[in-house]
Amino acid sequence: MLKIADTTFTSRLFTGTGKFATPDVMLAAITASGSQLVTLAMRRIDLRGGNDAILPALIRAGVKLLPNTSGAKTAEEAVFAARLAREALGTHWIKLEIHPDMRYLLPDPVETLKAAELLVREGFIVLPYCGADPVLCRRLEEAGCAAVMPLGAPIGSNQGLITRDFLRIIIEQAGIPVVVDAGIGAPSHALEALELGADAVLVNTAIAVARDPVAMACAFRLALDAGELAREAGIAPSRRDASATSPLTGFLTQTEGAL
Amino acid sequence: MISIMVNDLPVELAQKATLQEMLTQLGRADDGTALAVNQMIIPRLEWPHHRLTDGDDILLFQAIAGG
Amino acid sequence: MSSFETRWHQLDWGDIGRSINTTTAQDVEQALSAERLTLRNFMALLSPAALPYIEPMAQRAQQLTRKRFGNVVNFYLPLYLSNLCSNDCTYCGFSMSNHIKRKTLDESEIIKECEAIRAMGFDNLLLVTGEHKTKVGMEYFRRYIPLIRDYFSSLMMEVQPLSQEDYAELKTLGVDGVMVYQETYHPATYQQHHLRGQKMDFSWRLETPDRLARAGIDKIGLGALIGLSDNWRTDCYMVAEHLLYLQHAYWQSRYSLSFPRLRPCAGGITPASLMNEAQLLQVMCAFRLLAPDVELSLSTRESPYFRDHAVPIMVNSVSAGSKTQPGGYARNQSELEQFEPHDNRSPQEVAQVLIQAGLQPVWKDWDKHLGRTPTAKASLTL
Repeated sequence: MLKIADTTFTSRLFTGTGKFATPDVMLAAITASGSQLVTLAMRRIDLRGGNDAILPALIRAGVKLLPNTSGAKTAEEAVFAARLAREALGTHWIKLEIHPDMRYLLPDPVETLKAAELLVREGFIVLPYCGADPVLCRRLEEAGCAAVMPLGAPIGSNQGLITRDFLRIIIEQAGIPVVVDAGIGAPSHALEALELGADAVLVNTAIAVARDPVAMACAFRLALDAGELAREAGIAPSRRDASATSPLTGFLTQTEGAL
Repeated sequence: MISIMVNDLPVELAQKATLQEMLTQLGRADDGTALAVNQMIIPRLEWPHHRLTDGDDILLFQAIAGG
Repeated sequence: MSSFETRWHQLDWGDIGRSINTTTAQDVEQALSAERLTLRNFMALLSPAALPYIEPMAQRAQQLTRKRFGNVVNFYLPLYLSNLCSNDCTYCGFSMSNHIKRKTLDESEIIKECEAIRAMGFDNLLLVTGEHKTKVGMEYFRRYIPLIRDYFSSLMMEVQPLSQEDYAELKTLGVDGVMVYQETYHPATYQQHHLRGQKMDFSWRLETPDRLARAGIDKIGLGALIGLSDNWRTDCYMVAEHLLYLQHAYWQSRYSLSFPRLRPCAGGITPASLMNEAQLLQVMCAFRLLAPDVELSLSTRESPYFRDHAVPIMVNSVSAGSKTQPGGYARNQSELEQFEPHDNRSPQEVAQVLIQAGLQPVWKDWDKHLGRTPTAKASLTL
């Protein structure tokens, strides 16, 4: 059971709705994944074009909607996007993402912390996407965020948890749920995240651009089930090799007047 | 008649048209949309009451697919 | 506002004792191979079942200490400013009911002490007083701390628990750290041994580290007086709970642990539970495994033999040549002592032994301006 703010989830797999070939495939994949939370972006409507709306289908699917602030490059823009999203969808939940870096799409820590503080004050349930920086994650937690979403690797890179050493620290120190977001390219990466102790993962590209997104979504679902079971079962610690050095405690048996 | 801009497109409306009427005219009165008039977000509740004036700049957004 | 007291109320003294006592060898082995110890693991390492594993515990403790602290051992010295006290504590030489000569240092005496201490080579000072609100309280500290501060690179205090505002003020006067030992986390025992004075207030003392952290004091020292309660293992476990709580809630502060074992003093008491040297080593190793980044301190209460062997394993802060009476450095007067040190060797002697063991004694590792105290004399130029 995963609890974020006031909502309980039985699935630790969150999914993105972007990059799918068609809305139908997207919906089928989300259903197959068992995901109970999906992300959405806010964009200006192209009045000359058709209707891109996927919302009605998603609402029918009964998943929780998590709008994001993608496109924002500053805290101000992110706050604006969040307010729009709240109006549009009637939810206080917001995935805060600010990535002015167009090449690697890495999140801006300064603007993100600033925006998080503002949004928390306005009553939003803030889930910030951020770098795998333990100190930043502490600050975001102190600012009142409901969870932190550190990246495993740059968005869309499918490289897996290249930030695993820092994710470990974040997981160890966090008092709020940790959702590994970005970079998860295969079910094994998602499984690894759970074994590390992450509370959930967010996967978009790996499912959307797979040859068979629905099958891939199933694979992720199975991986997360495995991760959940392994955690409950208690993963055995890996043994360290002790390097033999001279004994340190021999002196105790020769103590003059032990007390 | 008044002239306003909606997502950078010029739109002609009746005098004292409301936001709700504008959306219906454009065929965009869907769920999952939000808008700002002259950079200020107007809550959905006010759409039937908010009257537009000539020269208003409107940005209309919807929730779409994204990661 | 929540504090450690909230967590402490969730802990059951009896349950903890029972858990520790029913630990098996398997639990100990699991604890030893854990990458990052949980409190459950720590409990196993505190138990009697862990004593046969003391060698691997020591090896691992030394590894972790080297990784974090290298071969460095910090030297500090306590300066007792006053043995005047308005508390009556059964175990302490300064207890108000003890008929000893009382002394509080005045300005010229303080200067003499500081000069004598500097001449010994020390640059890290720990100020100690008994508790006396009017004669050795904030007024006294306000008057003399700035004077003392100028002599030393780092200044710590071990005095009565104060308010958060007082600590914030002490920080501006140049105090870098404060030690406050709960003595025991068992309230009934605590009451038995603290008979009169402000120190009777268990909660006030328990919340002191929280107030220190909120006031922004950089280093916070914790510990229990081993042997005061009838189960030192449980008291040590409580220290660990206290430490982990504080490290999580106030992650920007540094922490330090001491392991005072009840020693003889004027009108002394018998310890309710006994900890021998092997067990002391075991507990210190357990703490090093639990918290690789915490400062572990070993004072002159322990014997030269024990210190010489234990320090190279996991200790990174020691005192030497300590005098536990006010004015002890300029002039030695044993009848005013709080407790009798066991290791009476000079700092140079102790330093030499540690150097032979491959350690580097460090006398100075801080600077006044690092305390960010904007006094008239402080400047940011190095």
